[in-house]
Amino acid sequence: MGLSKVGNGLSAYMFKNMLPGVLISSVYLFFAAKFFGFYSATTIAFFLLLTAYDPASYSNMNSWVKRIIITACFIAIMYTLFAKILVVYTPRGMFI
Amino acid sequence: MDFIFYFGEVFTLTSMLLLIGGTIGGLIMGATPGLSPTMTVALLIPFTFNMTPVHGLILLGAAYTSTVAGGAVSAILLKIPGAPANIATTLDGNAMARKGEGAKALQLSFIASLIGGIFGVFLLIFLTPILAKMANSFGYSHTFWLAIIGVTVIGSLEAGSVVKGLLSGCIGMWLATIGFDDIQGVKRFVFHPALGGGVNIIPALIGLFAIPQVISMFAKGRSQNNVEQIKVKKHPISKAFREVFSRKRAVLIGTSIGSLIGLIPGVGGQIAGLLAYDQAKKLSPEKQKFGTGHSEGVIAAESANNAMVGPSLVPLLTLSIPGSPTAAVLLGGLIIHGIFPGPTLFQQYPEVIWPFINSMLIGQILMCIFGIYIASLAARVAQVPQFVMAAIVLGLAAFGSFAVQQSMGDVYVMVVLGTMMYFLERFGFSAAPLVLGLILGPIAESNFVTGSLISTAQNGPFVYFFTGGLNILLVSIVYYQWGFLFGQNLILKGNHNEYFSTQISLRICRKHSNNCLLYQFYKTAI
Repeated sequence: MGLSKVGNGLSAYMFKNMLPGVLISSVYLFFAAKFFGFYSATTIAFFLLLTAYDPASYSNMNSWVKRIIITACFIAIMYTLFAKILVVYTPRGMFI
Repeated sequence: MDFIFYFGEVFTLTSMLLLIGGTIGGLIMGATPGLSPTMTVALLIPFTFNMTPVHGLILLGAAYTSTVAGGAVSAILLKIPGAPANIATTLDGNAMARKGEGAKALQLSFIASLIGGIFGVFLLIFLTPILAKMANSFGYSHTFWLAIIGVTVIGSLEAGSVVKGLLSGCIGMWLATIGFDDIQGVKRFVFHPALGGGVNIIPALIGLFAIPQVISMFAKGRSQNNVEQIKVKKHPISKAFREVFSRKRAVLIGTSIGSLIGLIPGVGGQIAGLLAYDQAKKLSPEKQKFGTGHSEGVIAAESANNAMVGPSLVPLLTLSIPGSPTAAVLLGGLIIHGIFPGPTLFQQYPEVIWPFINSMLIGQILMCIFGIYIASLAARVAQVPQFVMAAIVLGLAAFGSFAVQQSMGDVYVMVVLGTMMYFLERFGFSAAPLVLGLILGPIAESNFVTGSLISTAQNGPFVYFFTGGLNILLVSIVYYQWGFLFGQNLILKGNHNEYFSTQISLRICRKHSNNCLLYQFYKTAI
């Protein structure tokens, strides 16, 4: 009847892992999207999330290039889709 | 036979392009673990805003059909179910792949999905007008009880605990009260101006299904994505067709169980595959082969999954009560296009609904064709690192939520609900009952209030809601369900160490103990 334990709970390890992602996402959505502009904020947030969670070494130049390319491709697709095809007017802050 | 007159609309250039695009995209998304059919359809809804209702529904229907089937790809090749509906496929499908029969397993799963799916859509075509005619005679009290049944069924079957499942449904119903009351115009729980219009269903759906997945992927940290993919050797398709048609019992069991499960409001696909697998095993003379790479296991599970798709739309289109969580998202898609399901849907919008249903029939065939040929590509996409997937889903969720009303308020609602859902899920609550509460809550409330007002001029609310043959039947279903499930839980809890989500699963686990299906999945998932 719900008295038994169900669900896996939340460990400190999991909380520590998710903290950077949750912080980046929160700043992106609650502040940066309006301040910098939706697309600019998404670009920055996307790149920061990839950097924070990529298991590759930070001294590896190839992994930085890969992250930049993935970010650029993603933003290009999102811009084409939402700005050009769906014509969604997103908040424009300092940039787009 | 009205559906025949509207077939032409499906074969226009735009419709076919959307059908093909939705099928291929759905197969790839379905094959990606973590992207459930529900989340895929929820993320696609914003893309349909600028489309006509027909085209939007064709895209969503194609995605719904193919994500369910696409989950078999990762289940077979990666031993990771693309969605909970594909758990049973993992058992025999992956075993077949390890024996070098991966291509055969994929072909069997898509052909079985095709047969089950076509049967399910025909059931949808022939049952829906009949049920719509019956539903015309439903009063406010009947619709109220049907909405309650929808929430309680999913609440009791989906969650890890019956009480938590029902509580999830209640939370959903509470969220639905935010905003202004439809009948009296009273302001309720409007903590912020952004909530003045209530909680919009699309950002809520995106938040409830996408954000917990994103946070789960973050919670894995900087771990390597070490997923072993089995190489797929060629296998003649004609042999696969012959094999499926020779396994008539498995096809029949899967198709009939899937269709039946789909018709029950609120239940969804997870149970269909597992139940069909279990019954196919019980009734097979080759029981001992199940779990070692037996084709009947794959055929029964996958035919059930797709057979559920069409019938899950029957209660949705006729009574506005979703037959599955994904159907609940489709309801949001219908409402966004100004189409309100109900008994008069087929009279008011035949030019929208019949092409949509016909497109699901064609979509099943395309799903089989594309599924067989691009399964390997889909499996490669499933190996995209989780952190990249998390960032992509977060971006899509943000854009999709904003695109609904071009309001940041919807984005905030999406994030808050999603974060709340993540923590609720960690402690045993479930998104599906919450979503159904969110969607069925207003239906239950408006019918209850209207019925109450009418009853004051008659014999009072008690007589209005609790008397009459249909009322008694519906109330009995609600009470029977609660009583049965609470009673079963008390008896069965002592027979197993783990507490599983469904009564059917509990029965399976009681018999198989450590080898039971859900137990294995939960062990690998943790």
